[in-house]
Amino acid sequence: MAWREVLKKLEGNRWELPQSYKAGMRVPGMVFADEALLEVIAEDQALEQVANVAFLPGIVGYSLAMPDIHWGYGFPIGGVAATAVDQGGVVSPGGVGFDINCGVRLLRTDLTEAEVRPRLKELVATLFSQVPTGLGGGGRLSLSPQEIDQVLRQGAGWAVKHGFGVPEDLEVTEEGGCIAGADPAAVGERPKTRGGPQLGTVGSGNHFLEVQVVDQVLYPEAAQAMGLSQVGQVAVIIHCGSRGLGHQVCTDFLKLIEAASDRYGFHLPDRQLAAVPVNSPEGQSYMGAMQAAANFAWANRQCLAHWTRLAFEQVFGRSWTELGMRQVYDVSHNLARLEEHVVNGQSMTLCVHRKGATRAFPAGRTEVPLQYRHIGQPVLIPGDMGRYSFLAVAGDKALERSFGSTCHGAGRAESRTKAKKLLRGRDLKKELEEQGIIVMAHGWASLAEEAPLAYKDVADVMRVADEAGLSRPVARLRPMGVIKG
Amino acid sequence: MTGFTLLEHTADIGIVATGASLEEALAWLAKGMFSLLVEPSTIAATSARQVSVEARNRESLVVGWLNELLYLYEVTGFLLKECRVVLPEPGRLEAVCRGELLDPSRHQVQTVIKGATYHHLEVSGNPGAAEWRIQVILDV
Repeated sequence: MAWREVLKKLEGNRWELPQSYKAGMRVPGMVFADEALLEVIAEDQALEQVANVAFLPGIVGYSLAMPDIHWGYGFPIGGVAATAVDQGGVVSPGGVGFDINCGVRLLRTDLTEAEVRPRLKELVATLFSQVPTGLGGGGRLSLSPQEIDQVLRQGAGWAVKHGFGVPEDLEVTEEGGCIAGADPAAVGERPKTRGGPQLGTVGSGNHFLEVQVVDQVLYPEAAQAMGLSQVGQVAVIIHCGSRGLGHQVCTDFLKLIEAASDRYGFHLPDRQLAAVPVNSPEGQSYMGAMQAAANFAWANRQCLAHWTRLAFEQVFGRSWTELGMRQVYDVSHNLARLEEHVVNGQSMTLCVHRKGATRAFPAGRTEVPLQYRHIGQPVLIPGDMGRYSFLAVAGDKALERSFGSTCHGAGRAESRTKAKKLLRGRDLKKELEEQGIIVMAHGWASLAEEAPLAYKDVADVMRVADEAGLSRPVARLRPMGVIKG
Repeated sequence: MTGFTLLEHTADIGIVATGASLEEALAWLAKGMFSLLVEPSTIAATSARQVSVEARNRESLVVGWLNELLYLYEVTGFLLKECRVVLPEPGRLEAVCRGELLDPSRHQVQTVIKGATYHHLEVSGNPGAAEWRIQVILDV
């Protein structure tokens, strides 16, 4: 496919995929990329998926692709689609994915690299033992069915109530760590049976916990507001989601909605895009279950953040408050949310699907916590384990160009199988150690699949997002220690 | 040719299974999926599980089969070594699966599989055909 001939280049690193590209598209597509990124993006089927998402009934504006877009299933990863709820707009479980409310949490510390470096091995080992990955076993919690329902209703607040963290953490978590509308009954028994025991576990794949150090401050005013304004300052980033509970909610609803989608007469080019109107019995049921699973994910990250603080306390012999381990923010990057947006000069309620994309609401929006409302919502963009990650803030054009959305990571460049092939015979753990990065993981394969060479350079993604006005970099953080499932 | 191969996909992973019958291809598909979880040679066929799946069409039956096995694995730890699949009527699958429960001292879990997807799902073959082929993409 000669995508260059199809795409129309616009200013600000934007490429329009015309509605005429494929009969059935209801809106055009829009890809945020520069020339170099586009070349990588065009190698797999992500752009075709952007076109397919444009078929969703009720979609408004554009089928959007963030700069880290890559081939997913149904939606591309890095895909954003908004549907007009009052005009028959749909919700698609494939636009959220199996890992409902997969997201990222960032904790700051007052520790410096010089203080942490001599204890790094001990710290990573302590984190590895304190923060369960959940592979080959459950987590540290054992919850009754009633308690699981409470988690689904209360989200991170349930965890705080049970001593895992403090109320201030909730203020700097999207939706306060508890999205409205959660319906534990809609979740059903199977997701609770599968995922309940996994509360408080990281999982595997691209999920991780990383100790990082600030190596560049790029927007001092925002960095100051977020408490990460010093080069050499240590932080911790946690990436995980709703584990088996979310996976099973998606599985169960895909089956139901795949059948219902046909009954509503929707003709979609990929069954994984199956959708129902938000305002339909099936749509309401899915929204309630998805929101409950989202709350489970926030409770999960809340527990993991708590054990992270305890691991630091154990290693450094001071309380986490003395170590300054405040939470900077917690973002979701796999969710469909009801939000108010202005489309063609009219305010309307949209169901905004972000599949591997981060919400980026600018300064002034009431959803942004008070302490950040003057700078805009913090955005956490992890890169690969060998290079760096970015702390960013919503850009001034995000609302108008992407329904307040931006990228969520580096984006894969190589498949898992290819990464393993390329790395065969290499001691990745040792190579990273030589770069000063201590890694503990469950086996070589899980590490190799997530090796730096499997990912694009997150700096390229960040730059494009910045130039497009979607998000602005605040600080760059370099990895020091990594634990992986 | 019967068996399974893994398929490249940027973020996830696919399995292509082939068999002399749809039943046989479904059995290879299951083995392919468990080969991603645990090294197959470390699984012993010491216990059995009965699995039933109902679905509205062949494609949904394929996805439902894998998702049922994933559920069984995550809830009970059952690792499939081999299985016998029968399709008594359209939209229904019955299987006897042999394997054992996960024992972390002997089995190294390599990944978490979140679910089987409908994306690029292909089932080809006809009654009487010499070869059946199934392609599924898993979210890992």
